[in-house]
Amino acid sequence: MSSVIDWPYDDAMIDRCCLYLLGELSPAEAAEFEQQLAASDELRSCLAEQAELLAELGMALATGPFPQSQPLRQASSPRTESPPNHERRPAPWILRPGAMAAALALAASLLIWVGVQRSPELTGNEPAETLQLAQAWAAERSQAGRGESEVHESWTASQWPSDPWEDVESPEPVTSGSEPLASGTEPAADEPGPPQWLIIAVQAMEAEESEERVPGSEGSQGSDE
Amino acid sequence: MHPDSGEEPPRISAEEVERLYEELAAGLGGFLQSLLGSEADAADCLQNCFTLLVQRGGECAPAARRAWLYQVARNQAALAQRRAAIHRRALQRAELEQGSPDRGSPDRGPSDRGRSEAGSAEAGVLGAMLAEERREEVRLAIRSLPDAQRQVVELRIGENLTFQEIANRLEIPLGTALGRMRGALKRLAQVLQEEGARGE
Repeated sequence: MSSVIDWPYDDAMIDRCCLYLLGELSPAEAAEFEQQLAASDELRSCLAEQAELLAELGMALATGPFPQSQPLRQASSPRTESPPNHERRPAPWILRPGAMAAALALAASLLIWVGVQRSPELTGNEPAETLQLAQAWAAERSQAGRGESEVHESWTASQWPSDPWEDVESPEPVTSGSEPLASGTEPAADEPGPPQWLIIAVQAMEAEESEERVPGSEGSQGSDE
Repeated sequence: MHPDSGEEPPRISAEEVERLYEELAAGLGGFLQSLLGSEADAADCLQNCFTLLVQRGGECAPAARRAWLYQVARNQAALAQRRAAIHRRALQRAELEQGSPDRGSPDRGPSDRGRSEAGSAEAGVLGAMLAEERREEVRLAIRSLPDAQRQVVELRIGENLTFQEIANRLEIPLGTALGRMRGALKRLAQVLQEEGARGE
């Protein structure tokens, strides 16, 4: 590996994108960066490239052992320890990632669906639309279990350095009069948070998980074996 | 999956989803709007991004989840554009066919749908295999980095230290830590581009 890729961006731009994507800019700096992002094709392009690389690193370092023997904190996590022999050989269906993912997604969707119905977040006064969104999200999991959604394939199976935009028509440029979705330096008290349906669905999912961990509770998956 | 296999990615917490939404929704929405040129389409894509974050965000190291969201946003926007283009072409075709009654119905028959579903499942398996292969390529690329750069990558992404913390730990200036990260990203891009070219 002797050559280094020739990016058409200056180092300062690369560094700022990197700092923004890693959450190291102050709220004021981040807001300023986002305003510039809305106005600069070059900055968007640079950000997208850095995002892809950093996400690749994040995926690689989250799912596997560290490449060298550097004493890193995460390297001592239980995930990197060798499991007992009886755990090393997965059942044949586990060897098929698609089947495994489908089964998991289907099971998760059932749990989440039930969880949404029984969510402690529900007071009975939520708008019907909120409940419908949370339930629709759970229902969507069932569809994902039937072969992974095409939405997700688009990024899990992406081939470097293919550009997802290469065969897409350029959108109309955003005019200067076009308002960004939001702006500001720090989240204001009256700024909208995550959608209620998302909070309900996630908390229902967590409630189901905690129930699973309690032996003998409803929905428990049985013994540890 | 075996309950103790450790293969399932850690699930992202509601608190983290909420925090990322508060920190990123405005910027990510603006980014999507710039790509799509439509506030409504951007809002739809933004919702998809956070749905995917809930589902799969745990597959990515916490340090890189913002970057992961931006990558997902870009791909979601591209997908939305493709769907819009397909929709437009389908409408045009339907208009043409309305003018020529000899042509058959554009609806697909059951056998077509069956083939499509089988193809989708196959693509899902293939996608999972390609994703794992890709992760391994990246790990190899990390291994090939000079020690100084690899160390910064591992500390920043693997351990989630800030650049200032890395600089303090390694007793180097902050600018040097940033420069090593930049150099690592460039080299990784080069290696992965070459890998991609070889795979084609």
